[in-house]
Amino acid sequence: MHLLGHNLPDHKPLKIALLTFYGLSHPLASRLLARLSIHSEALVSDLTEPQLTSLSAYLSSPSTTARPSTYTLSPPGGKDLSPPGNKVIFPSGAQKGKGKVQTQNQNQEDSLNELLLETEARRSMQADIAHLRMVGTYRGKRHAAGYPVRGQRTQTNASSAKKHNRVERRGFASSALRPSFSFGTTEIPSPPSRILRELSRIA
Amino acid sequence: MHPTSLVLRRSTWKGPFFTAFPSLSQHLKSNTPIFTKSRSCTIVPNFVGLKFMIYNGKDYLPITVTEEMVGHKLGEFASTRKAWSYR
Repeated sequence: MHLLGHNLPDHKPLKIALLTFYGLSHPLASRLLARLSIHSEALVSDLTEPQLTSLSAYLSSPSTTARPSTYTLSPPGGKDLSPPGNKVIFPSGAQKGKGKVQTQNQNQEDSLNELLLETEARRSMQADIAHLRMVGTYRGKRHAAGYPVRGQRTQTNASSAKKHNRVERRGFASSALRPSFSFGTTEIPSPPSRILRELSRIA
Repeated sequence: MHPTSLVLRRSTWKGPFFTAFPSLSQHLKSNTPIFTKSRSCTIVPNFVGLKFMIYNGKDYLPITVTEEMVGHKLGEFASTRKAWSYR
């Protein structure tokens, strides 16, 4: 199934297939499914049409989609239905101890509301690295030199750092699935040649 | 976004760690650098415009604090490693 320029294989669980989107991690993917009321183990082929539209609506602009409602759900017995707008999750006295935890969670901003995806996420990551480089920190210098940033050894290993660490770092999706880039080949940043890379290291 | 950035952060009630340099305003006025060995000192907003000489284990390296540096540590700007090159 194709969704916003990514190929989601039909046989995969949706929470795994969603990892093709750069910026969506395992925990965020399962929280997104919970918010859209999609079963956590649902396969991509199981998706219904309304679920698909709500999913693509969220993924196309995470910050502007409708927030989930804060109305209280009815408890298992069906009684104790508090009026809408009341934010008390556990109205019965037996679970009063958990009330404090619940209010804390409500105060916390949901990170799904300001999620950066794809190009925006890559751009913010590159902006962070560029800031470090511009200010002149040690971490910025290590990024520019293509060495490990956090004090790892360089005599051996450090191959991931040599592969990835740049000032203009490329971002890949967190899973082994590669995005299919069906939106056009021109947008794919091509890896610089070895000579160019060496030159940028010296500069 | 990342829970670790909240969980593994320094407690808010402590505030940032910084060394209280005496006579900051004098140095700002006379434009003389402050010689310091406290590399772990966070750059707070009233350091902006000051000159520091930061010890890297061997000698003191000059740094002028700008607005973008606020929040970083002093030691981040004075490398302790020697640049390697073929002779």
